[in-house]
Amino acid sequence: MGGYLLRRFLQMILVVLLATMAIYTILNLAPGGPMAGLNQIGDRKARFSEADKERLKAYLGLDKPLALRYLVWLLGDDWLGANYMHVGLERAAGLRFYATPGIAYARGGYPIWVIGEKTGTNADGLAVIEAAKVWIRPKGEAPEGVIKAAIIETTGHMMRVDVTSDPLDALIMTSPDTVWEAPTVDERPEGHWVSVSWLFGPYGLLGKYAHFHGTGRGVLRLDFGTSWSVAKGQAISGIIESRLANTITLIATSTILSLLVAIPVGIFSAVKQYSKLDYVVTTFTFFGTAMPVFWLGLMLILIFSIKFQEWGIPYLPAGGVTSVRTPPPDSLLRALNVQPGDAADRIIHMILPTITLSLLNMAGWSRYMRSSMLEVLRQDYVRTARAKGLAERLVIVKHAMRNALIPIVTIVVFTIPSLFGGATITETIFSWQGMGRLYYDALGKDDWPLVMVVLFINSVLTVVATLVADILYTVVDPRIRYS
Amino acid sequence: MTVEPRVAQLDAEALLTPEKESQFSVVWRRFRRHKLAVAGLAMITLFLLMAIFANVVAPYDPITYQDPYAKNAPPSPEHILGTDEIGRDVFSRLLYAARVSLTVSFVVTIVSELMGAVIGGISGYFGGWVDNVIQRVVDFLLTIPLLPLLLAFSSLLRGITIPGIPEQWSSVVIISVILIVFGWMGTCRLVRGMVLSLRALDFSEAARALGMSDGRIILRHMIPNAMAPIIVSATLGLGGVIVLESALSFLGFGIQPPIPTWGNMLQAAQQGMLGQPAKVFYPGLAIFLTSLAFNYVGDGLRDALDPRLKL
Repeated sequence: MGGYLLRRFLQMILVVLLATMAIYTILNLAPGGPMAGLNQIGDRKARFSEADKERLKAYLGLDKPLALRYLVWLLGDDWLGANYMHVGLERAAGLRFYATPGIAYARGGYPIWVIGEKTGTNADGLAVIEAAKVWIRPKGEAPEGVIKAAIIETTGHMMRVDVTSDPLDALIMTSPDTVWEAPTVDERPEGHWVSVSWLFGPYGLLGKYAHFHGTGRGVLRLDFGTSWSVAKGQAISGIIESRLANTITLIATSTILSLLVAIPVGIFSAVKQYSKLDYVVTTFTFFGTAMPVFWLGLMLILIFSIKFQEWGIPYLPAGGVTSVRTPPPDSLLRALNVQPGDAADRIIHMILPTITLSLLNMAGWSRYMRSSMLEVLRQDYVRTARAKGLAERLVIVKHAMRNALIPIVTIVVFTIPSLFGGATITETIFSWQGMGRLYYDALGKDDWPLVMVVLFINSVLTVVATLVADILYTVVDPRIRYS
Repeated sequence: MTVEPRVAQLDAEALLTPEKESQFSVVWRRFRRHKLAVAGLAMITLFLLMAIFANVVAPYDPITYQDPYAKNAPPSPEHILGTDEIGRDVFSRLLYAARVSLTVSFVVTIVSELMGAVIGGISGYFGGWVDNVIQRVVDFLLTIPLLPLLLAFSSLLRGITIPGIPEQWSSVVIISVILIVFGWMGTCRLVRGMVLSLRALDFSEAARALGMSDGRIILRHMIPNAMAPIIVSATLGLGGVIVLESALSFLGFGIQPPIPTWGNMLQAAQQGMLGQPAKVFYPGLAIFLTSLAFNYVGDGLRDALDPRLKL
């Protein structure tokens, strides 16, 4: 069992990694995204210049190789050269990647001041300036002889800047001797400094390909990053936090409701196979499995909210989690005199989405329960129990039902992912501000970080649920063994 | 005394040969007992005929005909089901949508079942590392949540046009491909299981002894023997694909307008739902009835082909 669990666990990690890798790659290679349509602005003056685009790209990290971007998404970029540690080594002791912290804070888009000497021009005719002192995001009065500029991009120990007084760009070369003044840089203690990241750090071997210098900690450390467009600039964890409660309430309620109905109905219709009740249940399950959830939702809105309003019956709200203002006259909310935001208001808003989700779950699950029960009733031990003269009720409750419930474990376990992932279609129809709706909005607005996070949470939970279901199976059914 | 051997011979022959009944007629006889399945089959046939002859049955062109003076018109003798938000005839669009939705679901189901059958056949027949690799891929694809994934893919590929086909039909092809790519795994598992047990039987041993190639054994012996469950799962799958395609189109990530499908018609109708509530009824009903019919036919086929089968 231990070996089996370990193997499954490793497999799980592999599946999630591969899945996220694949999705990340496709998301990033697909057309569209935040850089598309930037210049579809009528006003010529408001358009983005090439330098602006470069800056935006650098800001979003889109100028880096895809593989590294994925790595950063997963593990964060705070360890990629932005942190330096103190080591007791002499500078001459063969350390090629000696670094100062300054460049790590020089990001595309930042204003800088530079004091330095022009040492020549590069192949493109841009001035190359050897910097003696650099101010990152300076404040106050500029000292004498300072070159004012804005960073376009940083590559290795070199910065391409847009000089304010000159139409031409310039290249600022920094060296370990450059003095830095950056607001976020801590006081340097005594001694020599070495970049921890000898590979990706600014002076590292791959530094010029992967010059990350952020503070992201990566999804593995539960830093989900910031949203691009659904809630621009907000932390994704905050957005999710605000949606999660809604989704959990909706899914948990409908799951419990469905189980409470589906299990007894399934058992009854199996025990009384071919009876009228069974016929009704089978028809219902067939209808329920064929019924598209979006149509059921729309039909419920049509009847209980639109038609009821037409007919003058107190009608239900067609969507939303709570009322925003005093509910309109004739509505059920007004009839019950609920205040926007109180418990009754929430419950009434939940009715239609809950019914939509529950009806379909009930259909599927009672069919499942019925066939599981039929299977068990055919078993020898049930016949034995009957043969030894047990009351039929006892046979069904104690011998058959308990075994027939085993497959239900899977169902319950597999609702865990949807508890967090939400029900995209139902939430979309009823404007239910949950995770499913969030995912839909994120997809529609090309908010990739958000899409990735929701998919990541979803796939982690699905994979975990699969494992949990398998383990629970061995618990409830000792005949099953994994090795 | 003369003997009449011929008579005796004929009698013996008649006794020895059982009444010839083709497999098809056996299945058909059993299928007919399932009344709802027959009703489902009739409904599908009707829908198919209406889709095939949409250009004859439909009174108007679904895309080009637009009456700017009769937008959102209620049902009338000219427009049996009224017109939509830009004045197109709803009934004609429903018929052409049936064409698109049914074609997509048939193509997707046939291709993905074939793919699943062949891959499952290879996986079960060869076993070993081939089987291991294929089954891990299947596990992998099955453990990722399907709907979010489908949504992600279709939203990404929304704007892409495929060279060689008219621009507005690109989304039809893209959605079909996505549905195929994520739709073959179930059949693959099913066929693999069947082939694993078939491979151990004498006839496949005999086929190998006769020197048949592996490919021929898989295609001529394994898959035909696993045909019954494949057909049943395909029929049940058809209903599922129709609903799935409609769901994607309904959410706006599937087949894009102006090509009519039941899903995107429903989406358009939902936006004008407060003014024209009845418009959301028809496309949804069409999806529901088709899916229901396929489910009943699948159920009937399962009983007719192999009553022990559990799918």
